[in-house]
Amino acid sequence: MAARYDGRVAPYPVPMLRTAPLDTEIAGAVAAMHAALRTAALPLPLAGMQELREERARALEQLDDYVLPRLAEPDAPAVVVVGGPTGVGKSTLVNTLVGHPVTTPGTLRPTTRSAVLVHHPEDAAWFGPERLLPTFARAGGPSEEPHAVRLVASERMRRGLAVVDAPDFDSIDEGNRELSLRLLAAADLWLFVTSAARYSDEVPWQQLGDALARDTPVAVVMNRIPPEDRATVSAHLTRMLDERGIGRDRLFLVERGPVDEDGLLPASYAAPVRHWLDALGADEAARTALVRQAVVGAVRRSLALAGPVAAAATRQVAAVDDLLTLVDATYDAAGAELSGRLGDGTLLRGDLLAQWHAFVGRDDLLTLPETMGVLRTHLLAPDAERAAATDRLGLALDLALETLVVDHAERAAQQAAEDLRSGPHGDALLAWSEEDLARAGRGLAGRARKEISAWRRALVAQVRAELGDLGEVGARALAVALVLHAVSTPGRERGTPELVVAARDGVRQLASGLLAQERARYLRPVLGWSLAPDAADRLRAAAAKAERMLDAVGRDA
Amino acid sequence: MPEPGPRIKALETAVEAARGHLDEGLLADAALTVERATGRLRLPAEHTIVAIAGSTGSGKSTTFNLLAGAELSVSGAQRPTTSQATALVWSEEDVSEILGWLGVPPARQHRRADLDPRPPRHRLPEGLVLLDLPDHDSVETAHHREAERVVALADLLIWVVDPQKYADAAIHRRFLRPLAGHRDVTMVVLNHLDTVPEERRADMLRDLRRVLVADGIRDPRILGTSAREGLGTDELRTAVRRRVEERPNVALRVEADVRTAAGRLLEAAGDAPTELPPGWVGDLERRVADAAGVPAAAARAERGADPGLRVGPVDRPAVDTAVRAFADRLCVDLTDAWAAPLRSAATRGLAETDDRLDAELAALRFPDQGAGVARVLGLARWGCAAGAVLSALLLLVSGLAVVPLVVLAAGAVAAHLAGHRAVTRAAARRGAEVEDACRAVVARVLRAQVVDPVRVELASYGRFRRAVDGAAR
Repeated sequence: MAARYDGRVAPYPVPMLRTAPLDTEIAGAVAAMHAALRTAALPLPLAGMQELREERARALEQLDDYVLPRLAEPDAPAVVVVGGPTGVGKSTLVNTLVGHPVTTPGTLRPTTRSAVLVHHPEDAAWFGPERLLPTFARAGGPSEEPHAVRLVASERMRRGLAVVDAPDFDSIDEGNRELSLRLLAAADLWLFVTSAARYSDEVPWQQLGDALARDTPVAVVMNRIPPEDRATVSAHLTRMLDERGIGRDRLFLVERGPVDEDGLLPASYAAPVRHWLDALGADEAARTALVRQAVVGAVRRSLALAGPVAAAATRQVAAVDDLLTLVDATYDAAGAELSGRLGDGTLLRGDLLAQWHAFVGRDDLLTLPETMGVLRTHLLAPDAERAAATDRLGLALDLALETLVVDHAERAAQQAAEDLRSGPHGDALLAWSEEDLARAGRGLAGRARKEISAWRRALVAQVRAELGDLGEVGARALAVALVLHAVSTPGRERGTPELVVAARDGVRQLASGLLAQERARYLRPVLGWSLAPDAADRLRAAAAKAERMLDAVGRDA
Repeated sequence: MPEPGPRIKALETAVEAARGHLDEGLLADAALTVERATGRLRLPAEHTIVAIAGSTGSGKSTTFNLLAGAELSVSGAQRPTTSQATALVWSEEDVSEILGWLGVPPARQHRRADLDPRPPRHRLPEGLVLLDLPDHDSVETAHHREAERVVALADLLIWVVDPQKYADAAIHRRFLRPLAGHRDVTMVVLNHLDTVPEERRADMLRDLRRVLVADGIRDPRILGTSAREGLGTDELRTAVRRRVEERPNVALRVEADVRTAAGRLLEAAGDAPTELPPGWVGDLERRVADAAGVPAAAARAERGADPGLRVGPVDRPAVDTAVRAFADRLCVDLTDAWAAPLRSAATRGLAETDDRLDAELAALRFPDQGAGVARVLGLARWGCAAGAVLSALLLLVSGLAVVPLVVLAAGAVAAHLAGHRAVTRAAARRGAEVEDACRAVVARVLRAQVVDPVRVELASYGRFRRAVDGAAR
């Protein structure tokens, strides 16, 4: 059967543009805007942030994948990406266009898992590493390495034009979808393939709408048309395309036909598409104009994001300020209270108090000199039982201190969480952390245990150094006694022994250090975000400059 | 097959019990499930609603027409075609109520009797209400909504897919995965098999099965057909007949709906015991008593040393930590829906708990009588001991009246030992009295401040949980 080249299909209409080179100055401005767009930090999940982040990620991806490499190599071959939903025969079409099988069409969905780029052998250098499409992984051979681009040289391609067979963008395979959408965003021209069964599917039309919105040049192929339905579906599709501003001169109809064992349709079926691509390859001016349209469209898309991203970055800085102010207030108060508790005798209760009474053998509180007296009589010649009682007492002190610190940390965290929730960004602020910020840190108890016992060992060493006549057990008991005395008296009265002062300062420092680490849970991620208050202004300035340059090019043209 | 009524009732109860705890949207969905299930059960069960759903262009309408044996639904090359559901009723009875419930417009209602020529009665099972749905994936989003609406109502679902579209994300994400629990009322038809070379058909059916299993449907029912060439249509008709005639499809569908909804609620709430497990309150009381220094006070009372014995003040951080650990243990597998109120119930009044413990423990008085008795007993005991020694001496010195003196000495030793036991026992009793009194205070305060408020929240979770378990059973 002959191809039905119905005469309405004309080569892609090219406005006569002067081929002003996409000069390096624009490339510089775009690169600067790219950097500013990327560095504007949007860490907190404030309202609308998720969408904005995704849009920005896609725009940045397109700048990396396509715009920057293309600006660096404006004369490289134009890249035509053949894309569409699953099962419309993209691979068959590409094979037929090239004239021999370069990709494996299949019946099981999804089929094409890696993309295939077909170019003329002499164009190979353009697609080397760090040139066109530098960010796409290159697949080594036809081994169906998933989600990468495989390069195939073919004499049948025209120089100056490369064709990519992209995977489908609507199947259940996430990787396919991602690679396909990235390739479409990197296209100088999108050859949108659909089929008679598919042409009114929602997903492809959404993608087509996106491409049109960013001014990517598009041509449409309707594949696999049953001959008897040709009139009906082509009329309907033409109407749908008209509504979206795609002229019928960019629509190609390919009928369902016999596929040979190489996966090719008879050449005549795809002839109109082939002729059109050849004409495009031969016309350097048309190609340049095409590339320019795609590049300018892509840059404008990023420019449109600059304003919203800058505003969002400003909001982020303000929100983080709120967060830190509030956290500071809460933890300052908690620290002050903890310090007070370490001077009002709160610690000497419950189990620790019982252990202490058992140790000194008296139930009433003793003054420090009395205590010293008792200890001396008990500990000048300690037996094994005394040593064990000293250990128990020390452990009771450690546990009481740990519990006191953890309790204050718990209350501070809860207070901070409640205050945050009642503020405007509260939930967002709490949501970013993997830790539950309404609770004390998970590692706090363990860390407290370790630091407390290290601190007590140091204090024992100090006691031994100053009062050499005490044995090891005596020094340990005295160290506990000093701490208990220190935490039961608020200030530093005149004449307080040096060691009591040291014990009091030590325990307060220890406690406030532990609490400071709790506060650091809020600070640590914030430092990682590298929020810059001037990021928004830099982005606006960079975007304005890039826009001026684009406008200047537009006037030149 | 048990009646689905109680199951629906249970789901309704679960929704009510979860108000204020779970997300409103989730609850609205579950309430909608209740409404749909109740609505369906009110209608006669001898009619089975079978919906043919699928992508645009996969041949829903052709399949529908083929089953009917008449050109009822417009099928055509131009996409999308069907915009509203079409119904074919294979019954002489009045089914206007069912069709009204389904929202099929009168112009799209057909009955076997109206068809021309009238097809044989046995072509399709009696009582069948066959629906042709609009597509779910075309640019006409109004179609999607209509398809979604009717898919939610039908008793039996036949998904028509085709070789080009069977792995489209649209159908799997939107329908087949969420309806993975509906395997008993779902059939998948791979249509347009004529466009696939014969030797590849088996592979493709196997691949479709793989995709469906990946959706979470275990052992999916799959049929390959070509509506255009009449391939597999007899098998499809037989399959539909057997499904309709042999199975309680209404109950199966309702059950699958209710179960799925209950599963979502349970997932959103999380798992916890519905009552305080035995021993947990005891553990808490013990830790708090330790924090109040109760064991030490009891030991002191045992020593009998302190006439003005006082207990407390409590080690507040230790009490707080014990209460928090108690709540954490309960909430370990719960989501915030109930964990937040439970934790708050336990810790809300912590400062007050500590104050009350301090005040009530300080108010305890321990009368000193035990100690007085012990002192008298102790004196008597040593008197006996002295008597025994004296008797022994007399025995040695005089050598007279041996027998009475031996008896006297033995009696004195026995009295001394008995006195020792009495003194020890009295001391232990004093210790136990102090301990009991303190523990009673701790238990009372904790019950009022922590345990009872927690039980209130736990009861709310328990009501929800019992209802959800009843619905998902």
